[in-house]
Amino acid sequence: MLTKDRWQRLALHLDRALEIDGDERAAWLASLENDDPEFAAELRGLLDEHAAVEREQFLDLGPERPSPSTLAGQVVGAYTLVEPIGQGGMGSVWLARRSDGRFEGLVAVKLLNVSLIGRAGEERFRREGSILARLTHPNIARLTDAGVSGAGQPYIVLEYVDGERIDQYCDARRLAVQQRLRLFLDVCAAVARAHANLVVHRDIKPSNVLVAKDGQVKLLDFGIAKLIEEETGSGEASALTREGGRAMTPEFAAPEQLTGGAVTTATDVHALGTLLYLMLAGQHPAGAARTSPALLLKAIVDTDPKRPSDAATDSDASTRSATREGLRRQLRGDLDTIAAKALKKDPAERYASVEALAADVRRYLGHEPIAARPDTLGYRTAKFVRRHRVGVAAAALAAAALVAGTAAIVWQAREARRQRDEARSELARSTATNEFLGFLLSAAAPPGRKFVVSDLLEQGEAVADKQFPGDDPMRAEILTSIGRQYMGAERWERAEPVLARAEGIARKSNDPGLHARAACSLAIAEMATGKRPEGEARIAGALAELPDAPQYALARADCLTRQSELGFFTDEGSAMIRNADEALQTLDRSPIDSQTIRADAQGARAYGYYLTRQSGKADRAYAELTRFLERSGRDRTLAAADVLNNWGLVHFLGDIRKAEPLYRRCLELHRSIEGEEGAGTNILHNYAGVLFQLGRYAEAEPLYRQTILTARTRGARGVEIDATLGLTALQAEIGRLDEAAATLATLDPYLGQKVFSPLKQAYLAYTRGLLARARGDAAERRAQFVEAVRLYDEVDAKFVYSFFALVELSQAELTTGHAEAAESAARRADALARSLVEKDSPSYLIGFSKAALGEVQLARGQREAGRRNLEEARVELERTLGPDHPASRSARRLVDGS
Amino acid sequence: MAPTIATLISSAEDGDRSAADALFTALYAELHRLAKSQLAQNGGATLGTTTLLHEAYLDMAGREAVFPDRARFMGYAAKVMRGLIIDYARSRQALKRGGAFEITTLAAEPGAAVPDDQELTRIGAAVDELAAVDPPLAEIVDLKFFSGFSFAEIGAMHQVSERTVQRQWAKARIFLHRALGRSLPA
Repeated sequence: MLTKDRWQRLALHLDRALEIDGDERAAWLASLENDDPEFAAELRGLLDEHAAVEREQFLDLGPERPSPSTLAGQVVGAYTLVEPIGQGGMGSVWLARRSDGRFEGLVAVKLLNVSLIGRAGEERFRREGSILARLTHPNIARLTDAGVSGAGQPYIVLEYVDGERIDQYCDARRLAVQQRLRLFLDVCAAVARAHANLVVHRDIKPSNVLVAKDGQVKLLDFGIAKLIEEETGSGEASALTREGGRAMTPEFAAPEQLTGGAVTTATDVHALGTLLYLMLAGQHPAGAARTSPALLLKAIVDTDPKRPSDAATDSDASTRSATREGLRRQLRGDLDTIAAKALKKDPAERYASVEALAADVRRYLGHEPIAARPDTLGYRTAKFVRRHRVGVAAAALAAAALVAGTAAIVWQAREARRQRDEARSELARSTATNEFLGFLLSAAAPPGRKFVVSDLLEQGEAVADKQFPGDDPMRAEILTSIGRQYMGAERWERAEPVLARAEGIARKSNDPGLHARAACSLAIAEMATGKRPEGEARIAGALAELPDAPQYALARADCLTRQSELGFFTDEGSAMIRNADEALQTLDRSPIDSQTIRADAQGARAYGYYLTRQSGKADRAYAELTRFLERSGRDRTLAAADVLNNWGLVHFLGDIRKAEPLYRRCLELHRSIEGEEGAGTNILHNYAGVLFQLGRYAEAEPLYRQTILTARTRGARGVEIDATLGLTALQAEIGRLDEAAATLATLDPYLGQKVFSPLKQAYLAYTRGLLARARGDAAERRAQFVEAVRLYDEVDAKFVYSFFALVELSQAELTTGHAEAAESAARRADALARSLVEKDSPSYLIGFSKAALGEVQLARGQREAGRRNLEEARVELERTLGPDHPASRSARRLVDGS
Repeated sequence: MAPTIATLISSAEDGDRSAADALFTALYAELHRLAKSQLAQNGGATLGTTTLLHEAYLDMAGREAVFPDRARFMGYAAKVMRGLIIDYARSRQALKRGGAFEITTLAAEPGAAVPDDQELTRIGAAVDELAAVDPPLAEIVDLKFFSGFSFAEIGAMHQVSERTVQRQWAKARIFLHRALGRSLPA
């Protein structure tokens, strides 16, 4: 047997050898022979094997496939199979002749996969088949018979067409645009005839449009998609799509086929638009998006294709006997407009009929003005805005202020990103009932790819209603998942009604577990939309109603976890810890484990420790949670990134240097998963704040700018304001005063608005104070900090935000000769710092307040106390911010000078 | 608490031998069960293996709150599928006729020979050899030959081009062809 190393080396050379052949390969082998004759001989041996493999068609057929020889000669209905001519997801296609010899001509017999047809469907299958058999047109490959053989094999007999795919036919003959359009008109004629007979094709694509040797266009498989689909009785052809999507080929599907809308003649108009696009531009309208199912889906449902004239390339031009510029000129204008109209996302906006589409093509060929109107710029812009409008900005749930700004916890995102992972498996459950929904939602979330689900959720809602009208538990399940996804996108206003519906349906379902899950998710949405009493009561009620039986343990753990998460809104840390502990114990007793609930509960407990100022425990809890995510293979997920963000919060007010790598990892994760633009505004802002606080101005500045831009794009006005104030402070700090003033002025339009809450007004006053300090304007400086402290006190006197304002106020009072007021501000700052930080744990807050106090004491002649405080401040600042930090340096100067 | 498929997969990936065995057994039982129940539903008709594997994924993913991604699952399931097919081939050899059910794969060019039970058993042994020196190639064989996935599907699963999959398949076939030649009596 070959050794591993030997094979690896051979395999490497095989890659090369299989790429080349003939003389090139011979020469390459000869040179190899020079270097290592033995190796070359072995490689030659393997290449001989390769020739044998090809010759013998070694392993071409999988095990236990009925061999062609057994089927050839077999009689199916009135036909005798001659030889196989094709193979696809539906089954195999055979060339056959009539057994009774009545017709000379050959036919194609499609042997359908047995599993596609239920026994009850046979009669209907035959009946539908006979209707299709009446559909005759020179451009339609006629269906002559459909039935089920004695052996139970369903089959369809079709006119045999010896031809070439229309796109390949055109390219091989380098047909010019006009010639292509004439062939396209033949296709339209066939489809129009079928529509007149109330038959919709549903699966028009190049491989179903052949051009026979005599140049005659023939459409294949008319009505077959429908024929099979209805036989399965579930609305969509489940087994078919599972086998590779032959009844409805996603690539050529219209948006309504993917979203569960009604399939009508407009569906065929869309497919004709795709075909026309392909024949003209040489490319699929979705362009490069076809590389992944998710992108393809999104492209079909949501993205307007490039204009064919922009999509055409050089090689397209040469196969159309034109130059690229020439081709583009030909396509630009009317043909672009015709394709765009046929490809409209909304069926109502497309050509009203195939006839109307054909008429415009004929007008173009006749150099007459076409009926379709191009999209105007204004129209396009309006649509763009509509499509990109984002939901409401996140409500900051808990925040910590710094000189540089605010730190917002992103638990919502964490919750939901995990839910997204969970939703994949949950929705997979629903796909067991309906493969289509699986395609819509789970295929949109392939592992490791960019994932934009929020725009699919609305479709999901509609689909859930449409697909499961009689299946309430399934509907409740799906609506709950969708609601949780909305929460993930921080679209609380959408989450709440969906979850309320899910809860209502689930309540009637007699499944307490299902109801508890829906109710407890709804409670969180209610908390987020300001209905706290309702949310709290709902969770308590759901838990009380849940029977204490093992099969509900999972639901109970889920609900307890949500109950714990209420603390994210109420800041009740000890309740968080208590409920999370109970959730985890319940989970241990549950016969079914759930890693997502486990991670949720651990995350809530860790945050509970943080809220109760147990930073050591919080730190260990987050470390444990991170390891848990690694072990369960989810350390490269957005959920993991969100854990890092919240872990960073633990150190935000304390040993802040520990926060920096956490935020860096968090941001890197976000970027690697969602792309450069993907990171959430809160995370960007938090990281910018940490860097600013650590004195790393050059790194902080671009992050602030990115935060502002991202927040602006997403309509997150609160974060935009905070980050703008942060950037102003930074520019003032490094002496770029004009820029700082200009940055601050960008907020002018927001000043009178509701978004400028008292908290933001306080932050604004604080920032103006910093600017005045940098300018050396002592009176203004003092006035602004007085105002800032007053405003903060109005919101909540014990708020962390006021700490920095108090420190600054203390120094401002001192500078203007108000030593007593300065001391009182410094003492308040010191007391506040102690209440915010775990006893005896390192914190730069303590450093700042002691420095301020020490300075005041020195000024008031209390040398001993002043020196002691300054010395303690120096130690604290050096160990938390590092010895080179500006604050550490100034503390050292003060100690030395005292 | 019984270990879930998800935990078994991650333990197996960490090199836990007994977890790998337990995973194989669990998947084997599941595929067997599914095949039997589908067989009953379809009145004795043969089944597509890809259908079976997709069903297994949906079924099992539905039962666990967390589940590995489809590609990883398919890698394992296809290996189990190989085991299942070889086992049936062996049992048919033993019984001469009348295996409990038949598994079919779709999609292949006409004209090639279908391996008989004896050859299947030998192919199974050769794939084991391949798995020892080049596990990714063995997985391609499991997915392509034993489970009937198309090159395009495998490419999408592994996020590589169809061409790459084809080349891997070519190399795997060379290896197996040679291994089979050696295992035949001279």
